[in-house]
Amino acid sequence: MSRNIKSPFIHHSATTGSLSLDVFIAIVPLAIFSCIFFGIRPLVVAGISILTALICEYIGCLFLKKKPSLYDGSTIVTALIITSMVSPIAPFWLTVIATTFAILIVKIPFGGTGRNIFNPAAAGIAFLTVCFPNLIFMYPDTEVDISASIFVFDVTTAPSPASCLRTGGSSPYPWYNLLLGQVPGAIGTTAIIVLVACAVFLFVRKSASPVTTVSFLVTCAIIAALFSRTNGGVFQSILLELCSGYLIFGSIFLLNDPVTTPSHTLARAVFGILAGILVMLFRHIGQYEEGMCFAVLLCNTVSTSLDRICWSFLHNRKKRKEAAI
Amino acid sequence: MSFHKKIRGTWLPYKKEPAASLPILRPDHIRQVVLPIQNEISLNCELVIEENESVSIGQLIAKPREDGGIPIYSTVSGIFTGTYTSSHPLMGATTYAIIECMSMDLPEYDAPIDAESLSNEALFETIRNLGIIDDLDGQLLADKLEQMQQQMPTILFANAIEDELYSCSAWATLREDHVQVITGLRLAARMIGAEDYQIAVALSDAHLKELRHHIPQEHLVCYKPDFYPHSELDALGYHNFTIGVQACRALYRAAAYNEPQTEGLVTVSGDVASLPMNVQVPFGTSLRILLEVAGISDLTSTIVLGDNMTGTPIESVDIPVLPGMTCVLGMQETKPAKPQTCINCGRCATVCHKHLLPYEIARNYENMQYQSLSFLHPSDCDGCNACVYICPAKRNVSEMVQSAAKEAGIQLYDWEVST
Repeated sequence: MSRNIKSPFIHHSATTGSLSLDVFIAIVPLAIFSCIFFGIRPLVVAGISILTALICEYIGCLFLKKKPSLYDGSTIVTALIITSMVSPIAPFWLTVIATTFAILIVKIPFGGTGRNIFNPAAAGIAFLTVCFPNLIFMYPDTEVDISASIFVFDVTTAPSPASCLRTGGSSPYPWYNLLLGQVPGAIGTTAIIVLVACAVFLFVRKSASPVTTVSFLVTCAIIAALFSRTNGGVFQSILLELCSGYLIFGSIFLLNDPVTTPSHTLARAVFGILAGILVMLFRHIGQYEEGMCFAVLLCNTVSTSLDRICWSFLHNRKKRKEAAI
Repeated sequence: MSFHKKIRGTWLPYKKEPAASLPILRPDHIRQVVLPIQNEISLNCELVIEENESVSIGQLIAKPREDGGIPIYSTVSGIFTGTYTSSHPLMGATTYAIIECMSMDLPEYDAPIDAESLSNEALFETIRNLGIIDDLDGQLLADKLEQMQQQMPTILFANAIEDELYSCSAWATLREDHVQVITGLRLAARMIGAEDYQIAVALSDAHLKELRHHIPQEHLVCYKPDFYPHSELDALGYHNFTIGVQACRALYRAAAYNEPQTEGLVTVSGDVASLPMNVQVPFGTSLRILLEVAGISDLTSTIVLGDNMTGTPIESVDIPVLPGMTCVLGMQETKPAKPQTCINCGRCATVCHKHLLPYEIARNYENMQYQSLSFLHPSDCDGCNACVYICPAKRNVSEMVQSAAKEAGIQLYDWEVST
């Protein structure tokens, strides 16, 4: 008779590994879709990133004196998110640097899986943005076919929709190109329709919260409507802002990282609004065309506080209501 | 009045069949019952019978040494052969009176007394003298109803919700003795001054349809089955005004026949039970007999007192069935899953019906930040274990919250430098 077993004697089938698997399954269509335009190059980048992440995790676990294990899959998910956010023609060493920074600097020193304060993938891309801004935002022209060879890095580039917004004026990309991902951009952040399908999958599986995503996107849309950076109307401004850069990708995969974002529903809504304001602020007055990662990192600092403040606000309100009754 | 309020919780798999649909089994091969007369918690009685004396069912065998204690009545007809002391997993060192069973038949009663004509004072005296126990929480029913009376509730509920996985003894009692249950509930409501009485259930459509033939719609409130925990009554403020279904029946029989509680209905089930069912046995029957009936071996499985979510695993099955025991399970012996690091997914907070932040409490507790724990109200936790069930990292969050409740407010370090 087991002496150590305690109630409950049944557990829900979800595990930390299954939550990461859901995110992995959501990212796979993005990789497949990007292969249509860029050949097997995205898969090679993903492979390099995953290998780097695993090696760094192993080294990090040695430092932490923990047995290295892949039970939760978070390392692989971090590598895939970084892959999705780099340019298709970025040198491979760029991905290696981002992944190494994400795991060895941002994740491991804080205690490893479940204990990091900052989103490792966002931190890795932010590091690249600061150190190699020219390389990170250098995207190939969609008219140029680069699927022939995986070692082609020197190709004709074109401004991304986010870059067009930054310089002002109208965007040369029609709305259907924006939705289908036929615009210069990172490997996995341009195919908006596929991203929406991934989001629906994650929401149904409850591996991501629609509260954070929706509050973030609505905030960005409102700011885009009020402070347009294009010559077109309000709708054009909203469409271009939302479909450019890492916005939608970040709202699904960066703002729904369970470890670094709030868990309380009201806190998630406030978190989404705060992130939306910061992203648009970085876009309007920041130095770079995309500020999603910086906004995520800033918001990560207040995740825990938001949880406690929002919970306390609602808890005290409930107690006051009960006392009044 | 609506009794349906949106609450937090989770969905559990349905495992009440086949026990819920089978008839109640009454084993007839019980040779001995052992009745506790003294324990470390609240029982302190002295025997009023001599060794080798014949006792009849319902006869007083031990009276309390102090006022307000629980008297002990024989649950079978037979011969009292002596006492022995052993350890009980919940009551500690317990002294038992052994009665060799000759017959389990109830005596032939004359026509029942019209229980509705008895005054409240007479009813209180009857159930106190007969030591009627509430099967919902094991408390003395007389004490419980007196406390309720002081709070002047408007409604009294018979709680037959049984929101855990296997237990269906309340449903079986309702199915078999609904008239006595309703009458007993009506009496209890009158005793505490409540205007209305309701039976709260959480049944499948088929069982609910069956019940609606017998119980008037205005006295029945049904919640969704398989949802856990059902805290609607708690959310509406009626948590303290609930009694068990078997207690209602016992109250009626005490009033109508002056009969003490002699039998209890227990669900015997679990994933190793070859024949899960509801079993009605005299109190004092060894748990081993129930397990044999359901085909559960205590050598190869974990025996749990209570249901799946909040039950207690026990080592020895040589303990008697007592009032308050409504479910016994035989579960497969498995190695507990190794807990992993919390990933802050927040699922525990989503299912917490007390609206706590279990992951935050657990984190503060593990980091020994006890001084900030009271802000998070860990003492509100009632140990329902819904958070442990849902946690993907397989952490015992509930245990950490309960431990945090004990440590809350303690300041480990005083940084003030005194000169």
